[in-house]
This record gives sequence, C-alpha cells and structure tokens, in this order.
Amino acid sequence: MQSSLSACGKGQAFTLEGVVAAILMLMVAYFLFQSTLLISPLASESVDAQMRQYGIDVLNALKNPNSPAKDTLENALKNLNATNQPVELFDSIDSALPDNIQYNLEVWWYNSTLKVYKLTNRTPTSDTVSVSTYVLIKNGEFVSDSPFRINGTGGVEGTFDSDYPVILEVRMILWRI
Amino acid sequence: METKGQLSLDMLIGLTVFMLSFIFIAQYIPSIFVVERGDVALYPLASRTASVLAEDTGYWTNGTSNGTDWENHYSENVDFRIGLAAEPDLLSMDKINALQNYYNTAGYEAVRMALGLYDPQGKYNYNISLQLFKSNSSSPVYARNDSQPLLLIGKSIPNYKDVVRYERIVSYDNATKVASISSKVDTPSTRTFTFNVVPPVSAFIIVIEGRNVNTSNTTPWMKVWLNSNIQIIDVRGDAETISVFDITDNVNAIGATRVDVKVHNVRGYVVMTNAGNYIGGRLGAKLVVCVW
Repeated sequence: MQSSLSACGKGQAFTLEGVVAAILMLMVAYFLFQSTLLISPLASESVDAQMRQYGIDVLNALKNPNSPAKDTLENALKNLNATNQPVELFDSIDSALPDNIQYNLEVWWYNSTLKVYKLTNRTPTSDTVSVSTYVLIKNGEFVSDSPFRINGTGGVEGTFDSDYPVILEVRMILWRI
Repeated sequence: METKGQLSLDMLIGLTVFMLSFIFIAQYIPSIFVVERGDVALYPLASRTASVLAEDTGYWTNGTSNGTDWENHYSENVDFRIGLAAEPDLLSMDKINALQNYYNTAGYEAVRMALGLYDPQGKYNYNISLQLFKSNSSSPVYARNDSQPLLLIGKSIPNYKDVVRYERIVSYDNATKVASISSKVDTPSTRTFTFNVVPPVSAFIIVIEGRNVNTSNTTPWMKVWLNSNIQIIDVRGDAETISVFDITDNVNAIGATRVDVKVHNVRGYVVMTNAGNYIGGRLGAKLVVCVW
C-alpha cells in the first residue's frame, strides 16, 4: 500500500479536514476558558457577598451607643487622638473577622471640606469590597485634641457648641489574603 | 482499487481524530458549567436563610390573631414563620431556644418546610448553628449553653459533595439567660466577690456601670486577681473604673479557676458564659447556615 499522505490527494484532504476540525474545536475550548464568559466570576461574587456581609455585621455589632465598652465605634471615636489609638476596637474586629480577611478602617466627615482620617493604612489587593455606617456624636463628647472636634464659629447657629452633632461615616474596606 | 483503499484509511484516521477531540470537549466543558450552576443556585438560598434568621422577628397567625412572638405560639395550631431577631443582627435568646425546641419536637422536615428550603426541583438539606468567632468549617466550636450547643439543628455536613456555607455575625439581646455566672457587683462600701471558673470560657466580662446608687462620695475603684494571687486589674476613679473589662484572654491564658473582684462604691455586674464572644459591649457569635 502506498503512503496515503504522499500519493493520494483525496486521502490527504480527508485527514487534513479531521485535523483542522480538531484544532478548531481545541481553539474554541481554549478561548472559551480564557474568556470572561465562564461563570467563574459569579463564584467570586458569592465570596465577595459573604465578605461584604462580614463587614456590615461587624460594624453593626460594634455600633452600640449605650454601652460603656471601649470597643464600640462611638467610644473608640470619642477618645481617639494622635496618641490614643482604638486598640480595643481593632481587637474586636480582628476576633470577629475570619483569619483570611484583612481590612482598612477610615472615618469620613465634613468640616468645611470633606475630610478623611485613616485608622489603618494597610495595602489592599485589587479585589476589595467597601461597607460603611454612620455614627452621630456630639461635638463636646470628643476629647479636646480629637481630629473630629469642630472648634470655632460657624454653622447655622453661629457657634459649634458641645451639643453640635457631628456625623461620622465609618468606612471599612475588606479583602481576602 | 488502490484509490478506494487509501480513501477509507485516511478517512478513518481523520474521523478518529475528530471524534476523540469532540468527545473530550463534550465531556469536559459541561462538567465545568454543572459545578458552577450548583454553587450559583445554593449561595442565594444560604444567604436568604441566614438573612431571614438574623434580621426577621418571625411571625405567627391563627386566622384571627397574629404577632411576631412566634416563640410563644409555635406549639399551638398556628401558621408561623421562623425568625430569630429581636432587632436586625440582634438575636433574641427566647427565639433561639424556641427554634432548638421546635427542631427537637417537630423534627428535621418540619423545620425545613418552615424555612422554605425546598422548590419544585427538590428539597435542600441544611445544618444551622451558632458558633464562636474562632470557629471554622474544619474545626467547629459551638456556642454552648451549659454543655449543650445553644443552637445546632439539621443533618451532619457531608464531605463528599458541594456544601455552601454562609455566616452572619450577630449579637444576643440577653446573654445573661445562658450565662454560667451572672452576678451583680454592687456595693457602696468595699467588698470582694469571688467566682469559680471552669476554663476555657468564651467570655468573662466585668461591667461597671457607675457609682453605687447608695453612694458615699468616695472614689470608686476595682482590683481583680486570678487564682488569688495574680493581679490583672487595678483601677481607680470614675474615668478608669466605670467601663467594661474583658478578662477572657487572661482567664484562658493561665487556666484560672478562681476570679476575685474587689470593688469599692460601684454598681455593675459580672457575666461568664460559653454562649458567645464579647463584641461591642454585647455577647455575640456567628450564625452559620450550611445548605446542600
């Protein structure tokens, strides 16, 4: 029998078609794996949803204005200054969150301009989720050198007295490690 | 004749290559999608069940009366929806006990129906529990009331198939109901309160709310010792004394079996429990919902 690939045009054609068809299918499969059409992003979204829920729940658990505990958001922010960092707050967050989740904590507020105080400044990964809650604290409840305390005159009533309400947005950014 | 023979052989080779590739792809690609579809269907189910339990008060009705206190009516002939919340993310200890009792008396299937863990395609298995913060799927640590899990219902979690796990961090409305020790620390004079401990504990908290109501004008203070001789707290004055003291880690670190709290002119209480961890001035735990 002669070699079909070298001696017969018909034989070459049929073999070639089979190989080309196989290559085409493998290429389709390859590009399908590489494309974003796969459902794997949805699995990632499910994990993100759980991480977001952790953040919401932790902030809710720590928001307890009637407690004298030092780890509540209210008491931690009232006593915050350059030297007094909220160690108890960090301890409670660390104990509640799973070990494979890291976070940053920021406080945003408005005092003439929008300001931010970063309680932690870790470097996040590219895939993060952000949650926030609002805390209302009277101006006079902050320690005297608090970054959130509003001094001087201004506002609708002319002065920022001790009863002036300061609204703080506590923002938590979470990511997996 | 030679031409026909060559044609059949080449076609056979081509067809074989084609069929091998086709079978490989036909088997491989659907298997990927099947796995992902299972997860996509189960995650919302687990999330919804956890949300209903953590954020809903529940509801009952008998046609003429209704209310949210289903925990007082579930044993009667009423329709009811299960929810554990006194407020969102703040679980009612009465409702937690009611769910555990309902599971113990009515059984697995009744709770599955009440939680809506079924659809026209079939029924879903579940495992729902309250666990301490340090707990994870490989080594679960359950919140306990005495020696029993505070809430543990459903089948054992299988390790041979996909199980979706969803967690909520929750607090209790009244943890003193399941506390091993719940005692007032309340005196206008000087007094020592002694507590016997069986370590480890999930929370040992001393809460000083203020000066005693029958107050003298003397400065409040507090000192705490473990095992009679290891002093861990020595505070004086309103600013330092009126606070919450979480000595859980101290107790567990040395395996303390005795805690002495010596106070002067204070009003407060001590809570020791294995039902949860201390967070934000309350006791809390993880509500873990597993579905498969």
